[in-house]
Amino acid sequence: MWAVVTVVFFLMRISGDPIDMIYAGDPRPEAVQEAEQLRQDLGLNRAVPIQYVDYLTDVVSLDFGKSIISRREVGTLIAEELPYTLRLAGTAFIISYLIAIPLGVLTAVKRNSAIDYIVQVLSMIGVSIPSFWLGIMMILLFAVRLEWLPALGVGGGDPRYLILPAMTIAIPRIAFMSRFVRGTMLDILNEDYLRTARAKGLASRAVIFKHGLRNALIPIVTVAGVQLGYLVSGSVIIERVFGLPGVGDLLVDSIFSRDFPVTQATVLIIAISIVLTNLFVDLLYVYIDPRLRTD
Amino acid sequence: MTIKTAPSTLPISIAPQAPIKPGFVRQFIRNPQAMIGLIIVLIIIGMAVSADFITTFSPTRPAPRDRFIEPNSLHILGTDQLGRDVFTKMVFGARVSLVVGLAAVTLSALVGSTLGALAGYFGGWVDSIISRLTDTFLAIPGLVLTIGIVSVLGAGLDRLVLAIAVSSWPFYSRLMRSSFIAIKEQQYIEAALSIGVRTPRIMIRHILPNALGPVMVVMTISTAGAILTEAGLSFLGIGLEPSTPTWGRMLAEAQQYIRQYAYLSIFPGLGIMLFTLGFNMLGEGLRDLLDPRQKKR
Repeated sequence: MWAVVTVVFFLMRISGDPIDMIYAGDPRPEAVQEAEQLRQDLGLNRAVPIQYVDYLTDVVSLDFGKSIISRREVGTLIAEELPYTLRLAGTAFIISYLIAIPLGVLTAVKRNSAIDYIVQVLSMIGVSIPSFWLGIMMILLFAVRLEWLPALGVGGGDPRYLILPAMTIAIPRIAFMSRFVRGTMLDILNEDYLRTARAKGLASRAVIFKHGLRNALIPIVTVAGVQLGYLVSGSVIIERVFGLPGVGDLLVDSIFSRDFPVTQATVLIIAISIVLTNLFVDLLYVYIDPRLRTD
Repeated sequence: MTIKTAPSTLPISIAPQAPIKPGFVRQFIRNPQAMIGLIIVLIIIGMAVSADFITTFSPTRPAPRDRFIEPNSLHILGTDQLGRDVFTKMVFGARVSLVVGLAAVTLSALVGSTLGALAGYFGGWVDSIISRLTDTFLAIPGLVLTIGIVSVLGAGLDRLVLAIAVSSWPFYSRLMRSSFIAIKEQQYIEAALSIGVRTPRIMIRHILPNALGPVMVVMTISTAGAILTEAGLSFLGIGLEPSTPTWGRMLAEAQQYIRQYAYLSIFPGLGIMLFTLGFNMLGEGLRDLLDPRQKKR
């Protein structure tokens, strides 16, 4: 965690002074003074090690400073946008697991069949498709041509507005996860203990679900944390496609307006949330796999 | 609190030790997935390289009288809101994607592999430092890290390449490390050591060739990833200068005309998809050939 904070800090500083970038090419004579004032306000005129220590203190006390543009607390800005992103990423996460796990198990059990082949081809396309283009195509098909669903905005929390963006983020993840589940299940279906279970005369459904899927769950849960990372960073672009508010929208806006504290804090918050998820996943193992409890 | 090593963060799974065996080329030709992928990739690379010869239009100069021409025999993919030929823009866009993809992957593979090789071969504190750094970078989602770096460095081809490389080198580092750990225990390495072969030579001549297979697979699939990242950033309008013709920017500009001129939104996306699909298929095909574990299936 500390390491992530440090890396983010130094990467954001490595290219030099953000204030220079804000005022670069500003021809007014008072620009120099304004830049100096801003530099003092933000504490950027001090030595980098001191800035670093200050920064650590601020992060620990959840104080991310003020936005240069709107002068509001960065923490408040992010807290306002976070629920939108979590709702979108969470919905996409649930959709992708609900579809990918059954699909992966099915294709593993019926491997080399027609349905396996079709799913394999589709999922290959699915992992190659740029998500934002998928979003545009969804808008074109379902909103413009068929007029089934609304295309842009949140519509005051109406769930119908969530369907297209959530599906757009979920589809590439379904493609990836179903391949992953298939591979994991195939490895396990080849194991000796499954042959034993079958030889003992257990029904094949019991073998697949009780003995097979249960053991396949560990790697599946492992990638869940990484998946969530992809979902959150996926929503950065998708929020722009569908004109949605959210952390991603905030991040991109802050880059355009050169609102340096907001950019830095947003990147940091996303990074930390992913680290925390992975930590949570590590704890989850113990519940899924009793063998680890003895450690 | 430090970061625990997540068991598997690699986008693909592959055995660390998968040497390229004789007869590889023949196997490759017989693998339909790898061959289709290679053909798609080669066709698009061919178009990108010969962009100046296969089209007579300019990708950037506006032609106000030719705005929004639907696809016809002269403009096979139509023209955009400024009258520029879509096919021409796509061919030049392919060039940008290709350069960014290859440069970013080469840079990250070089840096990551070198660090991973050092960590795996020497172990000890060298390994501790490099592995900790690798884990830290792996913990930050790649796209967000890339966006963060680009926001600081500003727009430009070289900076974008650097930003993508910074967020993707840990994959190579981790892979190379495990390959080197596995291979350095082999008897032939012991034999080489006992007859007095020097360390750099052992690493480069004796271990590296046997560790290259998996790296090639990751490089191929990462090229697809880099192309998608470039397209995504261009779509957002960050990463490259606005004047650069990119598939991502074409899509961003086309979105406001989606109701009247849908073809503007369709073709650039198809281009991106085909290009990444080609690299993904090539990579998956290569992995099947290199990883004997997969053949059981």
